[in-house]
Order: sequence, then structure tokens, then C-alpha cells
Amino acid sequence: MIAVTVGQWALWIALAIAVYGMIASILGARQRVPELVQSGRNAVIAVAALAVVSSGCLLYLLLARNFQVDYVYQHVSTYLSVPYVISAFYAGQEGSLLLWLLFLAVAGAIAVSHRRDWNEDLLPYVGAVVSGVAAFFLFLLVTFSSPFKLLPANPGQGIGLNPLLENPGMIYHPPTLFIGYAVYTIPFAYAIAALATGRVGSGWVRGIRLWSLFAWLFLGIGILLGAQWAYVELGWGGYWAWDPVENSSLIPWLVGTAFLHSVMVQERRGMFKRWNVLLATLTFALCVFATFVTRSGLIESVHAFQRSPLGYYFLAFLFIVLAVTVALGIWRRQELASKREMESFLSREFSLLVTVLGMVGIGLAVLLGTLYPALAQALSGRDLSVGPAFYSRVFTPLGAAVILIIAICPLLAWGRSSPQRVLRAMLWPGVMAIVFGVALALAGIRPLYAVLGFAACVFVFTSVLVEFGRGWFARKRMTGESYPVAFVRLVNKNHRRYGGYLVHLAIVILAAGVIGSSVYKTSTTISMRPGESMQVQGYSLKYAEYAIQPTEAKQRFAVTLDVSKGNRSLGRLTAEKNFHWNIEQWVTEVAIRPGLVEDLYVILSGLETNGLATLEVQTHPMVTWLWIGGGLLFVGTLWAMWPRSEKKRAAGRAE
Amino acid sequence: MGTVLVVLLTLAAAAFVAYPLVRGMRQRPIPSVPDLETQMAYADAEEIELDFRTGKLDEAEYAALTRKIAAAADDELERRIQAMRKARRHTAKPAPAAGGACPRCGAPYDPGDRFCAKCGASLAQALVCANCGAPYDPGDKFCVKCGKPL
Repeated sequence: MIAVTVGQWALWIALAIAVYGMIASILGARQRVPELVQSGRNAVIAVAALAVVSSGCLLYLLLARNFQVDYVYQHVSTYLSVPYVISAFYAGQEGSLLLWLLFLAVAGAIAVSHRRDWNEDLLPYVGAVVSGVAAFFLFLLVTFSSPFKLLPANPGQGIGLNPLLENPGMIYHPPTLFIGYAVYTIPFAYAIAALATGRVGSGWVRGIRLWSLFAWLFLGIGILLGAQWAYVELGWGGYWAWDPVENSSLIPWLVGTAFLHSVMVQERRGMFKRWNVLLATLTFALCVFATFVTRSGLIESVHAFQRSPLGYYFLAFLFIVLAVTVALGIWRRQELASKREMESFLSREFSLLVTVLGMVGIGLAVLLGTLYPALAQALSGRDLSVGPAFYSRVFTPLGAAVILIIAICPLLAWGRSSPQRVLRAMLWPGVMAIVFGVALALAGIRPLYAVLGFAACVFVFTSVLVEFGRGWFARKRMTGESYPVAFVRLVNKNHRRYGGYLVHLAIVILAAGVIGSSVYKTSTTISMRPGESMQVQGYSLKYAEYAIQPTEAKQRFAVTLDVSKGNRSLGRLTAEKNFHWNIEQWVTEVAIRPGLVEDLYVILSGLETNGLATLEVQTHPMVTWLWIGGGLLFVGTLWAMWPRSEKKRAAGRAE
Repeated sequence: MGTVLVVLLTLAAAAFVAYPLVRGMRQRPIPSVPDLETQMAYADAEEIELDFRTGKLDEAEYAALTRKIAAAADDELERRIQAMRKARRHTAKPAPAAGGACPRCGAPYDPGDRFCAKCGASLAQALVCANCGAPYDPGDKFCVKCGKPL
């Protein structure tokens, strides 16, 4: 029980230190007492250390399967394997909040230790904001949501993890997402620091570039991992269901994307200062909101495993965050004013403004769709739900606009571009898109809007490739280097630009995957006896064997099929539908044969004792493209983040 | 056991946080990055160059933008030179180097010189303790023979 005492007290001590750190940092900065500022900085580091201690204690209790601890009892059982015992850390609300705190505190400690001359004045306020946010989470952890609560006696066996969570997705998806959420605190802290000191110029936006890219990357990859998990586990027959919790993680990512783009305008042109402060705050607030939606059960969702009064505290916290930002923003309105005017509609900055508006617009639409049922319930007492129809109606035009702007924006120059040049730059992408679109239409691909969608993707894809090509040939002409050398040096000389282009390519591949999989999905329900064969969607399925057997955790129902297409064998697929004792519910394990063109997706709907099986055979075209796009997104963002050494920078200048 | 650990944890955390208040600040130098304005001006110039080379800007636009950047850089340089001049006017004249005058010809010499640069007289002899007459090295604070301050 030492771990319980230490873990719990570490949180109390951390709370006291976080509150102290917030006050010390602000006082020290305002009264110019460097000792107090340093003490505030140490407080952030101490909170991080204490969060590590407390998390270590919880992890130990989970691994020791100490069932007297309520949290361990709720989420672990004796037959749960070790990786899932570790993942049980964040299976419930208490552990999730602790994980949030851990990531936040560690990121904060790194941020305040990173002293440079440009951020010396900002850091105390960064420390104060980090301490403040940490104090909020610590307050929840010690009062309403302690993971160290004890049961009166040790029950000897735990309930165990919800079987829906027993998937590799559980190991990677939540922590990745949580890192994204927690790290977005740092850009927010810098925004507040910039407002507090009045130094709202380009220093802070440039300084936090790595932080916001890092958070954005983790959030994006986290969302994709979640989509992948939903695709393979839940038997919904899809990677995205516009579930409130999925939505709430998508919204900060969209607004964070807007932030990444608006930051560029401030760096380059000194405009969009208000936007940047607003977007940094909004992204953070939406991350907190996402945590709140997941944990409050405010909106009915498969994710809302629990209901709790925590929601009100989250709402109060969100209100404080927004109120503080707005108040500081009004106070600093002079400094936030733009010194430059937009010169032309045909310019990089204007197209970036459109990008920002588009991303925020989509984000708000999703937010509205997510909140609408709860609002309608509160206002009119009626139960309403907003289905995928709403989202596809809103998302399709806005998504298309965003895809097209990706093609056009990088072609424009800062300041102004001449229309002839832009048109000339769009020539090849345009030709390719038309050729491709006509070819698809002639090949009998329908409906027409899907063909248009693919053509738009080709347009963007080609325009990004042309951008690479133009830079490449220009460099070759300038330097006389050989083609491979010129290419490597080009992309190596400008990580931001070419990393960004790779991400654009990734988004287009993702978009193509979304169009393909949502338009061309097929579903057939069949019934088979052991030994029978059937043709479905060009696949021949042979019922090889079935199994009905009880295990410690569940009653297992499984059907194994031999799959082939033409003369080619595609191997065996086993679809399962199991009854889990601990939750007394059915959980479906889907069988998937992935492919570049389409995935074969088999769901076991029912299995009788004589082996008669009802199967839902689906094909999901181009889903693999989502995962390829995700991989490219990762590589591109890493490339954009990768720092160039000062030496190389100087050498680059000398060229 | 648990209580002991909690007390230790509390003490350690409190000590770490309070340390700067008790010890005072030891000013450690803050790592400097080349100032952001300059970095961004360079990035701007690189960007414009690439935009021109890849055909996003025509000759005239490129020339206009480059002129603008050059003018801004001139202004910035001028501003910095003025700032440096102002700073120099404000600081006092540097103090003359410690050393002394040659006892033979009166020419000044730098600390560490052994012979006068003007007349060649040995300067080592010029350094003798006023109390006991023993020679000492330049830079010594006390006489090695009698211990009196020099």
C-alpha cells in the first residue's frame, strides 16, 4: 500500500507546488525578481517529477494487480496480458486525467528549461500557464477523480478491461492523442505569454513552431490510429462514424491546421496576429473540450464509458481559458493590430486566409453537429441525433474547397501574383485532371461527383509534383549539379517547404481514400453451412471450419473461410463474434484481407451450433490509402520539423 | 514506511522549488540565437529567390521585391549603426591600460613588458618593494620577502 500513499500524496504535493508556481512566476515577472522566476520554473519541473512518481505508482499497482485499488479492480483482471495491463493505465477517467497531466507537465518542464534570449521575457508566463493548467488537472485528480481510491477489501479478481479496448489500437491510440492534446498547452501558454508581455510580434509564433507541429502530428496520427482501430475492431464496417468523441478529436486538429497556416503569414508578413492568438487558444480549448466530451458522457457515444460530474469543472475551466484570452486580447488590441494590408486577392496570404477560414469553418460545423443533440435536448427536451448525412452534406463542399486551395495556394507568391503566371502554373495539373477524369468517366466509373473528386485529387497531386519539379530544375539550372544531387540538396535546403508539400500529398491520398471508401462500399449478407462455397463481389469464399468454445474471458464463436479470387488463393480469414463474461455483451472481431484496391471485410453476424453461419461480406475500396496517407503525413511532418544546423544555414546563405 | 517516503518527497520538492530563493540567482548566460528579424529577412530573401527561379514571380516583380528587401536591410543597418554609435557615446572612455612609465625615459609600457619599447631599459628593475627593496614581478600584490602590500 506504499504505492497508494506515495502516489496519492505526490498529487497533493504537486497541486500545492503548481499553485505556488503559478503565483511565483507571475509575481516574479511583474516585480522583476529573477529568484522568484527561477523558483517558479523549478516548480514546473517539480510538478513534472511528481507526476512521474505518481504515474509510476499507478503503473506499479496495475502490474502488481492490486485489486484493492478501485481503479485496478475496474480495469484489470488476472488473465489480462501485460501490454493491456499497461494500457489499462488510461482505460478509465482517472488514469486518463493522470496521463494528460503527465504529458502536460513533462512538456511544460522541457518548455521552461529551453531558455533562449528571444523567450526570456515570455518564459515566466509560459511557466505560469503550464502550472495553472496542471493545477486544474491535479485538482480534479485529488478531489473527484483519484486513481488511488481503495476498496474496503481485496476482491481477489478484477472486472478487467472492456473487451472493445483489447486491441493493439488501445496501446497506441489514446497516448498518441493525449500527447497531442497535452502538448497543445505549450502554444497556448506562449500565446498568453505574448499577450501578457505585449510582445505579440513574430518571436513567439516562430519559437513555438516545433511545439505546434509536434502536437499537430501526434493529434493527426492519433486520430488515424483511432480510425484504424474502429475499422478493425468495432464491427461498424467503417473507420469513421461521426461519433461525438471522434469528432471532438478531429475539431482541434482542424483548428490546429488553421493555426499552422496562419502562423506562416505572421512570420512572413506580420499580419494575422489576432488570428494566431485566437487559434492557439481555440486549439487548446478544443483539446480540453475533447477530453471533457470523452469523459463526461455529455453526448451519447460508444466512447463515453462513464458519466461523471467532472463536466461542470471542465466547462468552468474552458470558460476561464477563453475569458482570460479575450480580456488580455482586448488589453493588447493596439499591439495586435496589423501593420500591413492585404495587397491582392491573388496572393499567398489571401489564399492562406481562405485556408484558415476553411479549416475553422469545417471545425465549427463539426462542433455544431456534435453539440446539436445535447443543445436540442437541453432546450427543447427532444432527443435528436445528427447522422452522417449532415456531415457528408457539410463536409463534401468544404472538403472539396480545401483540397482545391491546397493546389492553388503554393503556386501563389507572397504579396501578389499575376493571373497569367498562376494560370500557366495550373496548366499541367489541369490537363492531367481532365485527362484522368475523362478516362474514369469513359471507363464507366460513376457517380459523377466521385469522378470529379478523384479528378480534383489528381489536380492537387500533379500541382504538388510540379512544385517539386520546378524547384528541382531551377536548382539544377542555377547550380549545374547533377539531377539527383540537385534534388537532394533542394529538399534538404528547405525542410519546411518540402516537408509541407509532402504533407499536402498525404492529405490528397487521404482524400482519395475517403472518397473511394465512402462511395464504393458494398455489403452482402450470406448464409453458409460448413464446406459450402459462395461467390461474393468477385471473391470465392469456402467455409473451412467453425469453432464454438468457452474460454476464461469469453464464449468464442469463430468461422474460418478460405478466400480466393480467380485462381489466386488469398489465404484464410477468421471472423469472430464472442460473448464476454465481464461485460455480458457481444464483441465482434472482424476478419480483413487488406489490398491496395479494396479490402475484403467479413463480419460474423451469427453462428448456430450446427455450424450454420450468417456472414456480412463487405468490400471497402481504397481504405489502405488512408494508412499510406497517414504514413506520408508522418514522414512529411517530421521532415518539416527536422532542424537545420546553424552551420548549414550559414553555408546555405553563402551559396 | 509510506509516511516516511511522503515526507521525504515533500521535503525534496520544497527544497528544489525554494532553492533559488535561498541561494539567490547565479546568472547563467542564456544561449543566444541569431536575432529573429535577421533570420526572417534571410528566409524572405531565399523565398523570393526560389519563387523567381520557379517562375512564380516575373522579372519586374522580382526586381521590385528585391529592391524592397534591400532598402529594408539598408534601413536596418543604418538603425543598428546609429544604435551602436549612441551606445559608444554613452560609455565612458576606456581606462588607460595598467602598466606604468619607464623609469628612465618616461615612455608608457604595458603590463608584462620586460624592457622599455622606447629606450630599451630593463623594466624588471623598476619593480622593487618600497619597504625592503626586493624586486617583484609585475602583477604581484604583496612582497615575497617582507609581506608588505606593494
